[in-house]
Amino acid sequence: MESVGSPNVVQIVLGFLTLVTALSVVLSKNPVVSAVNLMATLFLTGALYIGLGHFFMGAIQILIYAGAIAVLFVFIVMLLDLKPLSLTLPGRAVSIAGGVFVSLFLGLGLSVAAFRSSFGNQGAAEVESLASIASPSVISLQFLSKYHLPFQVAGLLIFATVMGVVVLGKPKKQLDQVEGK
Amino acid sequence: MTNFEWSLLLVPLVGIALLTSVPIMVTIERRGSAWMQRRVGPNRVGPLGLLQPISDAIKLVFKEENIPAQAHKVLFILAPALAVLPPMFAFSVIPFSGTVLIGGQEFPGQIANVNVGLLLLLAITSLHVFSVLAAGWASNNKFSLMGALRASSQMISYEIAIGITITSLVMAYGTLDLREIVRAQEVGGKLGHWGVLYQPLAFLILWVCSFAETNRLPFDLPEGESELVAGYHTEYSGLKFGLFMMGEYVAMILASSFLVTLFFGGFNLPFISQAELRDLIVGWGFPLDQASWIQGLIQLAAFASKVAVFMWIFVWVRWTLPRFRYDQLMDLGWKVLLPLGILNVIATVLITFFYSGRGL
Repeated sequence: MESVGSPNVVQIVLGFLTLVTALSVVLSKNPVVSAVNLMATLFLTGALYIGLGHFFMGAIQILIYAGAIAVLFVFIVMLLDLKPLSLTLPGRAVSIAGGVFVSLFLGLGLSVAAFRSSFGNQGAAEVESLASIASPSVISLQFLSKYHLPFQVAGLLIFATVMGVVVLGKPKKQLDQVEGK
Repeated sequence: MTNFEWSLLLVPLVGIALLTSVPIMVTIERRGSAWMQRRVGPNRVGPLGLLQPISDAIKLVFKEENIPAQAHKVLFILAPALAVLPPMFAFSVIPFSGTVLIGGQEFPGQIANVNVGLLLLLAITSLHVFSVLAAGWASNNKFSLMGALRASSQMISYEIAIGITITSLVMAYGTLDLREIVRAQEVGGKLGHWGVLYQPLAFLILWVCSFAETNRLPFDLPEGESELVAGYHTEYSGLKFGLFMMGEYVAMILASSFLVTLFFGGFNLPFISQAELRDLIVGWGFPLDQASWIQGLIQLAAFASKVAVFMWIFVWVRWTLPRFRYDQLMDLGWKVLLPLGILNVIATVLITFFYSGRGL
């Protein structure tokens, strides 16, 4: 992957756009605009993956997150017809203290993550080895061998969720019939 | 010339080709519908009415662009653009011709030769829902919102059937690379015949779903003019409305190309493999470079004519079948196509398992 070493212009622009849309998810007052921006963020993340040469990850990211989950978010928010939020802000001192607290922890976490991953030499080697899992067959083989248990557990979780949704979605009368009342 | 430069060269060519085919399709649609209904159709502008799309375009450009006072302006303007962009973007992974030689180097007839082209195509087209949703909500009109809600639930439902069906296709071809899929269907390839002979059920499911995904009749409930005025684009006028129309036709071209690539051998000519075709043209006395270009053009023509057949079927079905009722549409998606898709996956698994020696 020649693109790993230093980011090119496209990646910088994509990264910047990702940050802007991610910020406007939090900052916009209208829930629909937030949901739309969330979708844009997820799409741009997928684009970043593709820019790094990980086409499979990028395609999956866009297909699952931007194309399905975020569309459902937008769909539901539109269906509920939420009004723009009116914020009641806490006092000035509390805001400043909270801001300092959050940004300290966030900055600490980000810098630890940055120094441990892609900036050092060791991090670059890690990214190189990641590039070798770009193909779908390698990823699926990993899922069927090394990560088989987590894969199955995730499947079980999703199955349980589907069952729960079916029970919740049933009308009350049918549920009573099932329970024999 | 590098591969990147070749792709840069192809991007405007493919974009122009896609957008030029829209007015052609509009003419075919209007004249075709007139022919089916024993009317005359538009025949006044130019010879045989062939200049009608140009006058349509001029009308659309000069119409007043109305933005409703209570509309969400950003999304209202963004939505028509998003109707055209995803289908055009997704076309970049479709292989529309074989390889051509320039200075002894091979270049594919495809903008982006990606190893997961099939997935990328599905991913980008799944964003198409969003333009309909945004248009319906941003218009601040109850008919538009109803249309958008219908569109999104319809498209999401049918995408599940598509996803399941694609699984069995991937098992049959053993790859996600669209170029490899086309190569598998040529004479002497992995399958050796058109994919539709091996996956007829998958073809039927994807064919029906392609009508639902492009919001064409009999699945045009999001627009349903007898119920919802014009659905999600009620409030649009001028070129913005024109963009929605363009998006619909480009999406039709994309869906047709998708079916052709997966099931009908893509750019392959029947009964002759790519290498044999090149040898044949070299045998006519052309140097190798020129022969590869002639071969590329012949394959492009083969691809285009296969796509044209499907485009005509789109028009044909639109003026033949009435619109579904909403519950019938949902029943078809969830109770017919999805179980059939799952059945097809099971059948493909069993056949692949028992006949794995035969390469299917």
